[in-house]
Amino acid sequence: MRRRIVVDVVPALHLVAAIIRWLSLTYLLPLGIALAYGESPLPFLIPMLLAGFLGFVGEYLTRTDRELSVREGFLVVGLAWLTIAAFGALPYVFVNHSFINAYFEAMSGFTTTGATILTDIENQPMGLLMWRQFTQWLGGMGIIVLAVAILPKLAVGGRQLMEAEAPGPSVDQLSPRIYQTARTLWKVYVALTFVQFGLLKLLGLSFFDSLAHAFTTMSTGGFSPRAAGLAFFAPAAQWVVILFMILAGTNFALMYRVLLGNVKQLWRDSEFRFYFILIVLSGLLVAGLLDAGSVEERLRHGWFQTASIITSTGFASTDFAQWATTLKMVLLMLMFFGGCAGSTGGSIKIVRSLLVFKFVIRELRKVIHPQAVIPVRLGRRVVNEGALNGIMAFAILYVTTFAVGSVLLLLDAQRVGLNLSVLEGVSAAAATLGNIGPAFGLAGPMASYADFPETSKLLMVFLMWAGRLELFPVLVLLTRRYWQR
Amino acid sequence: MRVIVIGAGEVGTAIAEALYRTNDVVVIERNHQRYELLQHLDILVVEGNGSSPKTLMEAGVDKADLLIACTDVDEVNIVACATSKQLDIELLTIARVQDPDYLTHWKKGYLGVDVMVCSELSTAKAVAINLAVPEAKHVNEFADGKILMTEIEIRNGCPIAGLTVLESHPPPGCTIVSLIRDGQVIIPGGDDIILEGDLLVNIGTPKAVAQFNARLSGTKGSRHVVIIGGGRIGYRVARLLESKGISPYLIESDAERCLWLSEHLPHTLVLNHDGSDVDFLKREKIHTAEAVINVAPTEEKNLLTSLLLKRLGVKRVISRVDQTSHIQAFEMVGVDVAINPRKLIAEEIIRFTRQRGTEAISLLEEERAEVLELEIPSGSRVSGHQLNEKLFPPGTIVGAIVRNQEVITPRGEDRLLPGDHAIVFAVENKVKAVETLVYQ
Repeated sequence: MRRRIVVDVVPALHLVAAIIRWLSLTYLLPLGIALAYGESPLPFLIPMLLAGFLGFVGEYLTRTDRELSVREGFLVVGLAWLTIAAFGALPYVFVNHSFINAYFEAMSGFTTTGATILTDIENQPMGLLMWRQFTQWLGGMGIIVLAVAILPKLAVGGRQLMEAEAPGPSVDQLSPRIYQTARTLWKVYVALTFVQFGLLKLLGLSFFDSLAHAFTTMSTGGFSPRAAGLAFFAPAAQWVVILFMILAGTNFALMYRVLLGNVKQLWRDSEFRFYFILIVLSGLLVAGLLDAGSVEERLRHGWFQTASIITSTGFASTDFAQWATTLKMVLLMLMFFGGCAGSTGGSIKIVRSLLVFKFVIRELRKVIHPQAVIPVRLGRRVVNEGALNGIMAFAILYVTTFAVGSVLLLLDAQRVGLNLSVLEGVSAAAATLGNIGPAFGLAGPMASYADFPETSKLLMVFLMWAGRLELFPVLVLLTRRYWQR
Repeated sequence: MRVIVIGAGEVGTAIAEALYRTNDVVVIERNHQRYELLQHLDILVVEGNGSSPKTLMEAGVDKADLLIACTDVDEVNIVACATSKQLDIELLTIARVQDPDYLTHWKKGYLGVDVMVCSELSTAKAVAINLAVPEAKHVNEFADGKILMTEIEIRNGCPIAGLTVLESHPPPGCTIVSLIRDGQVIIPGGDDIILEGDLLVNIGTPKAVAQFNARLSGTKGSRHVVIIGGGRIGYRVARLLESKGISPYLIESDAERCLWLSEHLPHTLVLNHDGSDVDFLKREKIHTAEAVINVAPTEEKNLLTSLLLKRLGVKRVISRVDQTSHIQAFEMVGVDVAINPRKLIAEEIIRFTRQRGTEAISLLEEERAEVLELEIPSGSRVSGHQLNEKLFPPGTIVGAIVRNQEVITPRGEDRLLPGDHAIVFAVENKVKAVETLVYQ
């Protein structure tokens, strides 16, 4: 007996179609670059027309006056990211990559992961390279956040959509209307990208390189059109990138308040404080464990790599896959912290890590005083037990997904006879689930994910997708209850 | 002065007793039985509801100078003050409240109430001061906390028992103002001998007083403190302790209340259990606490808990007592300090009825002696004169002088100057004489 599906698919598809129609406009940037460099504009022109056409037709076919409810919100968000990655893959397909590789690269782009299957990066067309960078910038602040900011039909119901997509436990609302908040966040994002672009340009980088790296720093993406990544640039440019990686991993709502003049709030925010101290100390630890180079070099590489991993950017100022195993273990541990809530960073997020830690301390104290009533605090605020349960569930689910993903990657590698060490396999799972990008070994920052079997690539596409949307909105789609009751 | 007191409970009775000799006192009380108890005082008792205009007029509110509303119901007190103020705009009104929220609200300018005193706050404060000077039976602050008065028992084995006052060498900044022996108040000269069993009253800077008392009893200030009872007083005490850098334990049996307390007291460990459960107290190693403050709402239970705590070896138990007549029972089971919220509030209210300039008072030994804080006006008879000219009558002693925020330990050749704050110890029947001497 078949049960009736209760999820109202039509308005959900309608919204996805609308987002695809608007996505067609984004191909204009790589199209312009391709024309400027005298390359064929077709890889962008065809997807642009296709997205515009299919989006328009889809929107027409699904037109309805039924409203989106909370449950359909998850479907919209999950589906939108899958579809956008598919359209984002088209330019790669037209430049002659296999669809699986193209889909992997596009998903890695939009989810700001930064894992790449490209092997000879510098021989790719300039237009495609810019598209790659641009997908990360679009995905960084969030496709849905952008949609809420510009689509009038989302001006009212956009809140739960944003909740489902936003990094961290909840959306930090800056103004009474959600679309105003979305716009403010995008404004801060655009402004900071522009400032970084200007600074890199001043330091002598080309227009193309400055723009490309500003796109992927502020989005904590980690793609680079250079084969050697950030190691290619002068120390000064690397310091600038360190600073902007740290900014990108900071809560944008907090940054907005600081920009409005409330500077004291920055240090009073316990999440930012923990985040900043974590980067400083782990960077010093790495610098101390590095055995070669001047003090400046070691500090730079220490902070660059730790900031890059913690914020889930995935840039490398040196090939850290070549480092000693102890150092790699430090980096692997750091992959689980992530940026602050409300930043563009991935992984578990600082606020959750901090609360998990405080939760454990609380339980330890309760062993000594079984009758004690001890609230968990964030700064001065008490975190309610319901929210705390949600965060614990998330952390457990995250670690479980990571563990299962690691095992599957290692099994798959063994199946096809790929030489993948445990550390490499584990790090690849952590790096894709946490939207970080490069890992160790054949997934290292100067290497490429191209050698993984196709099944593994599909698994990693799933990990990137689920990691970006923070598991729950994706996993709930896989339950029967979601559809039937 | 004509004074109207609303409510003849313990607070009202204490106030009436303190005031009736020098003022015309009218007491309004609705309970007929209770006002029978006031018959031994030379006062007028009006039966009725203190917040009704009719009763107030009957009590002569239009001729009164001062109205003190001190029933156990906050709302009645506030309404009574507001109503009276409308009947007589010149009237000074004092309201007693128990909920500190009213106090906060009043500070923003609540109409009709001129002075508001809060029992919970003063109780919490008394507890906190007592903890700072752990040996004392009775502690009071003067001159914004720059001067402390303590009453301490000379126990068996005390190093100064058997010495003369001169030989006991109080540290600079601390003066022995009185010895209370078998209920008799003695103002000692340098050659008087301090005996075991005496109550010694000293006045001075908090540091010197604490130092002297520590020497007498060989203990230090409390750090590990347990509060039993998370009501409003317990909460206030915990807040005050937190502000002094102490992280207390707070035991409360109501789970909902515990959640609220734990949210509002970041440095307090809130334990949800019955504070009189011996096994629980043992498990929490209660005997390691330097002091346990027992402020649960029921007096009988407090008595039982205090007994248990003493059996478990707690060094110092401070307990809330609601009726003055029960203090003895508490002392019998070994309670070190019994704090009576009603008595404290009565003291605080009487303070406002004093002549101008007298800012703080403290009643000792069931009002057989008082400690006064007097601001010396210019042109006062004592100003400019040395203390050894013996202007102050026998039965009084100047314990400390505060001049421009500096504390002076008075010697015979010191002079009182206008603007000084003098902390004066006086036996009961000399209080009036001292005030007349200073202010007229």
